[in-house]
Amino acid sequence: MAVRTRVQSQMHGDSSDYDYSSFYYSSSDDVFAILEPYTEWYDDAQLRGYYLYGQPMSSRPTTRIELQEKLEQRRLNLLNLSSYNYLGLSYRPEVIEAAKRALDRYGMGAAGSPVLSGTMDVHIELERELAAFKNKPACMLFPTGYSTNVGLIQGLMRPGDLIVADQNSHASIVDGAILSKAEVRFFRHNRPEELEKKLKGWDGKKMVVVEGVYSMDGDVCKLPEIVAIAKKHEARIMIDEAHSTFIYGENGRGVAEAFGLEDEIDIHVGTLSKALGGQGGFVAGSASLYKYLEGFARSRLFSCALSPVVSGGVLEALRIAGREPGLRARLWANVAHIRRLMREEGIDVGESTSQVIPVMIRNDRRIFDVAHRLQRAGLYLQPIVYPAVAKHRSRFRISVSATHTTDQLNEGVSILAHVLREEGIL
Amino acid sequence: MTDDGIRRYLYRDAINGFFEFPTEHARTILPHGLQPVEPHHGMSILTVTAFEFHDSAVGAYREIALSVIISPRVRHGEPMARAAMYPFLVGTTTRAAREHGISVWHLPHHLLDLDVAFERGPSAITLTAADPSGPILAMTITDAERGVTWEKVEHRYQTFMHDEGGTYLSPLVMQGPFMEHEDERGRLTLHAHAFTGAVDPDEVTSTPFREQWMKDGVESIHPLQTLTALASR
Repeated sequence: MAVRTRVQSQMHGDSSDYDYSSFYYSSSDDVFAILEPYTEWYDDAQLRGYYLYGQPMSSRPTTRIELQEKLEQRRLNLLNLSSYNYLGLSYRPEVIEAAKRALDRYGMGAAGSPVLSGTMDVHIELERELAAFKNKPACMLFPTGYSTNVGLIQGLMRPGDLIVADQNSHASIVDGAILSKAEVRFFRHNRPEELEKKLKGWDGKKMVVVEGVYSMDGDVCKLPEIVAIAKKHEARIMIDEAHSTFIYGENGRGVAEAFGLEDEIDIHVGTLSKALGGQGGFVAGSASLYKYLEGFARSRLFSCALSPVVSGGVLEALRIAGREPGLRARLWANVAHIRRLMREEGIDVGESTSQVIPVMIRNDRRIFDVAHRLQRAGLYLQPIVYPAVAKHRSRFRISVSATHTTDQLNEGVSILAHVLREEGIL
Repeated sequence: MTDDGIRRYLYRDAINGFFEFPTEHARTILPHGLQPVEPHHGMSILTVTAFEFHDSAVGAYREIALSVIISPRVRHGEPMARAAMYPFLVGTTTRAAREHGISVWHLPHHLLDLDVAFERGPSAITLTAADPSGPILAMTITDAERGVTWEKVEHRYQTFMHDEGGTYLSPLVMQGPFMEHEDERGRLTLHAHAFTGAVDPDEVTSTPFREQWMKDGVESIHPLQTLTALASR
């Protein structure tokens, strides 16, 4: 069965002409009036390629996975270039054992908000070790990476303040900024001169928000220039190092460390779900920032605390990342290898310089056809389309892991190049 | 006009370029209640559209329009619109076309006749527009490459208009051979001019992220619907 790239439906059109942006408004006062037309499109879109999203995995997210394909309910064994398990720690035996010990000791959940009954000693231990790792006085855990940015920005910024963020910022940064009701301006991606334009003429409080490595493009923030401009305009600086913590810098502390600018940054954000293979996020900064966010970061205040099981596993993963710098070296060797292969094949990787490597397709329709063929050829890569990226910037996103073998990387690029060539993209 | 109130305009070429510009600027153009589609956070879509009509109720003429892409209205059981747009300024080459556009479609018009020229090359079409006070814009739309082909299509759109009388919606159907790509090979130059005064040319991208071209087709515009909910706000 081939994926149906053009589905003619009762909508009297081609369902590939539509995406999520087509379904914000209905011509009715009934809130639910949008549901039926959306469902009609959704069912068509599944056949057209949206089935590729959310297919259940029945194995650990290692470099090879078992997947239950939604289209025909087939069980597939695929080479995995999609999981952001950069150091392969989610399935390390020591990490699994640590999580099991935490499960035995604490049970499954924290059973309370961190400010009420949800804080356990494993949380405090993890916060202390993360603070020590980041070389900061304090570190606060959040239940997810998304809630970290939302809670931090909403907790700190107020109506009348100014937030200037890179236009490729993660949705959690955008949502936190909206929730804060501060003035929000976006500057063109990674262009410091555009940041300066947006900061000019604002007299009140201001904060600049950037990411270390941009999650969909894999390029690195131009931090030195951005810090200089932010300082010139007396703006505070927040950096989200979700995809760069434990990857960049001599000690793995991130892009800020790599640039020697850690002390110039006011707020450091990271996640526990990427390189450490767990779940959750953290804010590292001053003790006074910690105290303030305890009372004002509502996404943490009104959520159950991070699971102690995850916390126990992450704590062990953090220790492994610290004592095994060879993992980072292995990851970077893999990144260099796959980048060389992709360059030789002429594959468009955009501006990426990191372990996050986009394969630019730049066509919202064709990407699903390509994705379907890749999966049938044995490669697990997710089509990334709007709203995760701009409407005309569709791509696949390769996440390289330290645990990929050279043969696996060779195989992955070989499949990719073959399909792209057959599709006329190469 | 047909018995069903649909007006048809036959064209030789219809071209359209999609450009990013700041949402803060888009919101100053849009009436309350219409929301821009954002391809990026903080960036909306400006489209530059041009037609060469060879047959219509007001004869042959050429037209350019600047629009903001907005969210369409969806109703169960009705054909979906491929996109929706809010044209905020239209210019034509004839007075008859201008008066027709204002009286029938409530479209805001530049009040001088324009010089609109199309230069057709082997792999691109270039539009230039000017009025007696000077050049307005130039846009190049490139032909498809890399496996994209021309196809006969019937595309539905929604056009929103707003004036002192209210806000209106008009369904619109475009039929004919169609090509669309996102290869980012076209070009836009916006000159400082009253026609482009609603946007800051420095803040509009000069390369279209989407290029569309139709040839030898028909534009069918359905009667206006008054949007009372929006008009009353």
